[in-house]
Amino acid sequence: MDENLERIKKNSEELYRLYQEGKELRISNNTLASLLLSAIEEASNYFIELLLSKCGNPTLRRNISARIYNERVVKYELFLAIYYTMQNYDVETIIERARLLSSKWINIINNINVSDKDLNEIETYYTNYDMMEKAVSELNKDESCGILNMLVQM
Amino acid sequence: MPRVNTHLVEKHIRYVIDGYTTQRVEDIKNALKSHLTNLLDDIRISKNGYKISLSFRTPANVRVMQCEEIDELLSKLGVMATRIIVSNVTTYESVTSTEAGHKRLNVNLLIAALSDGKTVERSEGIILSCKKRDGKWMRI
Repeated sequence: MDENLERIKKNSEELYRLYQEGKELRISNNTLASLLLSAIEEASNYFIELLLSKCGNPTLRRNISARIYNERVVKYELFLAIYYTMQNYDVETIIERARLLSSKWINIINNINVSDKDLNEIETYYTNYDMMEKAVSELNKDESCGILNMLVQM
Repeated sequence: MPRVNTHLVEKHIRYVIDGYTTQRVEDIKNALKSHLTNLLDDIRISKNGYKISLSFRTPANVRVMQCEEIDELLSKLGVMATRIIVSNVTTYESVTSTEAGHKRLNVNLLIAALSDGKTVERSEGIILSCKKRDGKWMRI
């Protein structure tokens, strides 16, 4: 695997491990949520990087890195959209849920009090990472370029 | 396999522009409509502080505007553009998914969700992209 890809994947996994250890240490829900959401953000970065390596278009790469890399909400939306697409919801439900939850996560990052229920909910999404990774890595060049072309316009 | 029915509807050229402005979103939208006669009614604008991203499309058979031209147009509207991406897009409609429980990623459905609606606009590739550096437009 590409070194850069491996690094991003490892970042995500380590953030999740820190979250698990933090839970044992009983650190605050807000901090735990930040760790989990950072793990999800890195997972999304990993998916984007995976798609970029399959697509292999340098113009797309430059535009993606300029437009997406600092947009947390787009990365949450991508992660959630992949998740809900794999659950085979209809398109309106996917859009509605991805939008609702990603804006909730942005509020959480901005330090709204996080309940145990919220925390468990975020963790549930993260634990589907392997299934999503497998699905994204099965995509071909055209499919990867198609998704990236869409992302660049978000 | 989950079923997704897509019917080709139309081809367009979509412009995506990042920049800065002090103007109101509604004012920019209206000004854009009056300045661009061949504009199709699908203008998307998001603004955060002074940062703005706007996007609009024209029919596929009209001439593609160059970055300098787009910049000139937008400066009339009070928008200072910093990045422009122009793509060929194709619009499909009627996206439905029926079967459940399959674990392969349905790319058409994902793209439909990311493109925000029932009518799916799928990008066929970037025609032109540029960035303003030291006051000059550079192709990237």
